[in-house]
Amino acid sequence: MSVFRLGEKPYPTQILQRKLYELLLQGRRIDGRGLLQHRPVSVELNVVEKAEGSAMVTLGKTRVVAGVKYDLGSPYPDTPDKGNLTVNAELLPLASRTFEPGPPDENAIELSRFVDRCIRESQALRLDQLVYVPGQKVGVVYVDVYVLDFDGDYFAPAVLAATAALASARVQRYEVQNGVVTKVAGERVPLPLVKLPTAAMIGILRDKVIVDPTALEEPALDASIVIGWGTDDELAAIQKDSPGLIPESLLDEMIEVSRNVTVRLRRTLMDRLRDVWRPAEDVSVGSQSQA
Amino acid sequence: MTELVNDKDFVLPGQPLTDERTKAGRFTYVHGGLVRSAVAGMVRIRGQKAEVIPARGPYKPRENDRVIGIVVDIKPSYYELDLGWGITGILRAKKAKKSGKESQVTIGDVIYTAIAFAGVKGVMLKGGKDAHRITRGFIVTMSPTRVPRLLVRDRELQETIERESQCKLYIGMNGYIAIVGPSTKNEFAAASAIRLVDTEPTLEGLKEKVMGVLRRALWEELVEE
Amino acid sequence: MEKALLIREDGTRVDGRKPDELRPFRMEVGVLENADGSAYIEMGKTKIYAAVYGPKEAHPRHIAQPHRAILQCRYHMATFSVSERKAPGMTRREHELSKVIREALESVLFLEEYPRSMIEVFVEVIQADAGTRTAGLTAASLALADAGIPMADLVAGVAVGKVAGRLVLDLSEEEDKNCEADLPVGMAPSINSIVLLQLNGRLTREEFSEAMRMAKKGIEVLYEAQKKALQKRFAAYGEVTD
Repeated sequence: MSVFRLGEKPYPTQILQRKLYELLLQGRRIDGRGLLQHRPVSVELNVVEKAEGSAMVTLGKTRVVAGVKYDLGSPYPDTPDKGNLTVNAELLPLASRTFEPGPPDENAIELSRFVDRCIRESQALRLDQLVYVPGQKVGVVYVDVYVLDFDGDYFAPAVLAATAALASARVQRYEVQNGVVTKVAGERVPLPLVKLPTAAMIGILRDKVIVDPTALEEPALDASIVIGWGTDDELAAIQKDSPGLIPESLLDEMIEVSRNVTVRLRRTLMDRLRDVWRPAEDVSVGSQSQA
Repeated sequence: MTELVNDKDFVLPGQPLTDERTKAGRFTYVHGGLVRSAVAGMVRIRGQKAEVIPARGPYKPRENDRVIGIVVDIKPSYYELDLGWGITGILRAKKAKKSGKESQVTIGDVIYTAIAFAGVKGVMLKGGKDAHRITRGFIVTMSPTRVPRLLVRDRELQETIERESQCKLYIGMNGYIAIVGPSTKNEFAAASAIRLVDTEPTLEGLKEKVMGVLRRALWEELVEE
Repeated sequence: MEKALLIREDGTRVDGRKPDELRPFRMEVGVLENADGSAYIEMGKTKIYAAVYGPKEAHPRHIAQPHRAILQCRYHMATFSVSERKAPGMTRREHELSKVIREALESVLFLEEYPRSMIEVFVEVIQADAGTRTAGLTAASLALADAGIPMADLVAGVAVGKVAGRLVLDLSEEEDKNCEADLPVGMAPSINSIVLLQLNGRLTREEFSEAMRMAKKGIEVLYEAQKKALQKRFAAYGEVTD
């Protein structure tokens, strides 16, 4: 008897959708923000002294901590002349009543892989500078990301925290002599990070585009995507992270909005990293490859 | 007999309140001959009882409490309502109409009712004219320990919010508040007032703050970013 | 490593502490926005968040009990919390500590007040520098009090160790690695009860009694700090609400 309806949400969500949309038409959000405004962001560096680099990022009521560890290892057979990057993310059950304890689920793995792509595909981290003995000894960079407090949009703060942790990391310096790698006691060097990838979560509700949805808004959205930019001008990763239709006509606007937001986040981060990181693309920051 | 604390003192778990065992009231227990607090909160010594009002905490169902539940399951003779805090309330369905039509209650419906009985057998809700299905507006949540703030002094805050926002509030002691108003703008104004009642540390001067929030929400020029 | 180095001639420890002195510590209640209760603790370089959710619907439903709430607890360490990166996933040690912390908390909670429901406690170690199970217990107890779960008493914990033949309170990581015995203790001070007790190592009968006395002294200091942290959290609370 009833006609099929595409993308229809459960009844309480429909009410929320209607209310949210009415507000969006008036140019505002449930928490008083503008449509294209992200929540207040803060970046705290070196929160974990035992990590080579670490950062705690809060975005409204969402909080993420990232830590970087560094070690020596063997390269992957297909990249003998590159160091290794391993990104791991977990949605800790203390962050939200919707997160379950247990091994990372598909959402956590999706987050890991998105953060990984933002760093790897943007070529922000010069893995080629982390080679000590080609084919044998390379640097291994571990980036571990934990969501501590979740009120929507963990993607943007996770990428921000990972980038900040990498940029502020100081790792053991090694020397290579006759193919033998030895620690240089007491010497720590920055990682060869040459760009600051940042990401933004963009949601749509009918014809309206919003930035950085909260946990309340997320289920009411028609669809959302997260977009990572390696620099102000270059995309690095995109993930449509939920079911739902994205009208073709809105896509350009979504990309443009994400660009503006990520540029702003990059400026914030650069400011925060003023004393520990320099955007020096042609300088061999790591100076860890063989002399 | 000795009272070890004064009325309205802030106490912590384990703290002795009195040495008179018969005085043990709500949120207290007896150990080592002393009545002690089981929560962080405020002591109330009223005649024969010493009880503690928790500063924060989950909802505990009590007979005759007004509550709001969300229908989570429909069984042949009853509905299951989620009252939050892991509590499921049972609401008997009206006798099936002779026509054999399906009930008009659906999953996700919001019901404002009262607790008929709460005990080991579970939580039974009042049906009939005590139960109302709320079909408009939306629900906000607040800490159950803060709900009484809306109701003290002859519902002063509830009435202030209702008058200024032109919304009707259905107040569930379980911390669910339904807001039904003439427009979304009015409803959100009421919602931000309730958020304030939930988060402000003290009741002192709260009415003025609530008025301020409501007026700002209702009269502020809305500017597109 | 020379064990003699851990205790100096004047009886002080490598980090300058007296044998019965705690490390500098800090506690804060209500640090996370989304949990029903939360707390943060630092003891030396140990940094731990604890969060409580519930009472909530028991999941899966068949684990629910008709006469009481179920308590679940997960103690977990971040991969970067230790010097050598820990592999993600729960180790056997983390499973064991989850159990002893849960049972320590269960000893003081009035779980029968919330039948058929579930209460979850999560202890996340962001940085581990010895004493994480006891600091985790101390923080978890604060998070439960913050959530308003009825309990007989707050609980706090600390470890006593035997280092270079001497008993010392609240082991640092360096001491922990080189100790002859490690005795983590958790207590509910107002009701004079022990809620967590483990021993790893060799102690004489007399040393054990002395170690318990030292632990109790340390726990009393932590307990006072717990009370202050809760008072700060609820500082402005004070009104008649019905």
